[in-house]
Amino acid sequence: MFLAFAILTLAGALSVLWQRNLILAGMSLVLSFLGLAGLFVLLANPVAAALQLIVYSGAIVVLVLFVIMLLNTHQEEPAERERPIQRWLGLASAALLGVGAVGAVLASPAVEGLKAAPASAMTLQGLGAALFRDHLLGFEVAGLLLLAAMVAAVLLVKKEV
Amino acid sequence: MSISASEWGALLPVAIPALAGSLIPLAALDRDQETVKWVRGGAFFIALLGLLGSFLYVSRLWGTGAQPTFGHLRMDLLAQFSAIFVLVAAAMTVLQLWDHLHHEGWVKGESLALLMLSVAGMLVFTATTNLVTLFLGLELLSIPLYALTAQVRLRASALEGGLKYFLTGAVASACFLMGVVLLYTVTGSFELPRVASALRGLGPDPLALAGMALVLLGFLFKVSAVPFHQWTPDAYEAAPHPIAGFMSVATKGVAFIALIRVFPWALGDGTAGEPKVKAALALAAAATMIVGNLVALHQSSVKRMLAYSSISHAGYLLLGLLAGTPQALTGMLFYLVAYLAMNLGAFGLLTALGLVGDQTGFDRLRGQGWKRPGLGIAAAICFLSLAGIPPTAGFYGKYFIFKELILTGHVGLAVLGVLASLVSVGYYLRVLKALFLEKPVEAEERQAAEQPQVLAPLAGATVLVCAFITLAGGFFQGPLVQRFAERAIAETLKVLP
Repeated sequence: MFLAFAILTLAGALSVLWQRNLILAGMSLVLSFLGLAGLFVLLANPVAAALQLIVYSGAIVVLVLFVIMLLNTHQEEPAERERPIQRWLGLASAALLGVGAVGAVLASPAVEGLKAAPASAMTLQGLGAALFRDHLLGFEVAGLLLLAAMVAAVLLVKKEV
Repeated sequence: MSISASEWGALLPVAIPALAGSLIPLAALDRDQETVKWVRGGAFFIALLGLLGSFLYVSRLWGTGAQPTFGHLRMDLLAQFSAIFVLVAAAMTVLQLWDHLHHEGWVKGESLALLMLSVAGMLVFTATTNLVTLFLGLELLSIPLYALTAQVRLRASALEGGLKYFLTGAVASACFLMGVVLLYTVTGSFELPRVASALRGLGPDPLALAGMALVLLGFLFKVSAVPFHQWTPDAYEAAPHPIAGFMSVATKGVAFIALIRVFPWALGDGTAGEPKVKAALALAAAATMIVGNLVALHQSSVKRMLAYSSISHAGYLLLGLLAGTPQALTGMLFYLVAYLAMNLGAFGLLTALGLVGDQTGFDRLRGQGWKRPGLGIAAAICFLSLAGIPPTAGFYGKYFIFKELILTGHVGLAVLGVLASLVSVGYYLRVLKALFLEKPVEAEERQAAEQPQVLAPLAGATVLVCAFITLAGGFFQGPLVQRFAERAIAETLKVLP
């Protein structure tokens, strides 16, 4: 089960990178998020899985796809100057990072300790309590953050007079 | 859920600027350039009023010694100190913006709203020991700044600089968040004191080390330390002068104050990763001083020179963090206040001379010192202080840090710091030479005579105030350090693990 969802997530993410057609890249992103939602269910966190599906796949990616469709350019433009060395260096450093990350997780004693911890399922009630009791300040600051982003967008695109 | 009076006490300093930031867009709904002056004035007035209200409230808290908390927000003395620091910087920025945006002919009320929201983010950022809240504060202070950098969008270079800042900043924020997640994975907590005690109990763990490194990376990006400095010159050049000044002073200031809270005690001392983190910090500090100062020598634009100078000042401040003694941290706070005055004075000079757009070459300053002697002398004091020449505040800031560095045995780094600040004298004196010793270019002189005289009373006044603070900080450094910086550090250390 875990392997299936993990492969789904990775395949979706890789295809976002490789796909030259932006619409298809967006669709692959949905695929990747589906896999991620499956992983959340396996982690006994159905709330996060539902949010992942509703908010990310359902709202954000669809919004991004709408914007791409409105923009009329579905094809990624080729680079002005192709530099193959960049691609190889990027691939090499990504591989190095991947190997390093896997090695770090395997070598970490703290992760071993996590295995003993009992997993309790996350409920909607627990989420609400965490959000509105423990992290009330963070919730409000996030609201301000959204306001700031909106005002920033207005500042950058407001009609010139 | 009701909020008690003491909880309001912690909330109000943040809430007042945030409220002002929410009100200002309403005043800016109309078409900007064509609105009557009093509507624009109203937006600026609301901004100043919000800053003043928060300032008065925090200074009263400081006077009574109260340290209220609300959830993860702890308005302790260090947070109050940094709140006053940020509010003063923001007030000077608002005054300079009034002049600068009118020179540019690009007055948008939204920029003030963003500045206020950024201030609210800074107050949250320095007043919490919870890693999640810390991250939210970091984002709330950065996102408005990205837009503020690119705001004069009739210039393509402004958009370019803003986009560079945004992309690199987003990557740095993502790294910071990944570091927080890794620390949570290995310690099971977002609260710094508990993270710290869990890290001390842990052996050498690669995940913990990676988490510490990534969190440190987020901070080093914000203070623009080498090798995370490349965005600085472009972003400063793109931004309006007052915003560039605000970014260099307030962002750097709050990042260092948050580092004082997060680093040596919480994540450094006693953990298995301590030697590596310290070595990385030392390396970054040395590289920052060397690169910042040497590249600043070869700039033809005053603004890019100031950008590299701000990089080099981050290097000196990192040295204080490395020494890590309470006296060194007190010295850092003093240095930050001195830096606020001298750097806002330096950027204020560009605003007060009415140099808009990309007219920021050294030749634009020629002979300006004699034309407006008051402004020229005040700016000269600020530049001398940046160079670290006694008896200005900039000298004492460096002196406190280097002294502690030598006492803790980092003699090599202290020598490097002194050499670096000697190099810096070279490029700061270039500004003074242009201001006072060089004749203006004749073609520009004629051009200037045809146009009406540039008036910038508010920006000029802020430069004078900055020069005054710089001198006062130099002459009364002892009592100032004792009454403010030492109190903030000592009280905060008591509650840190």
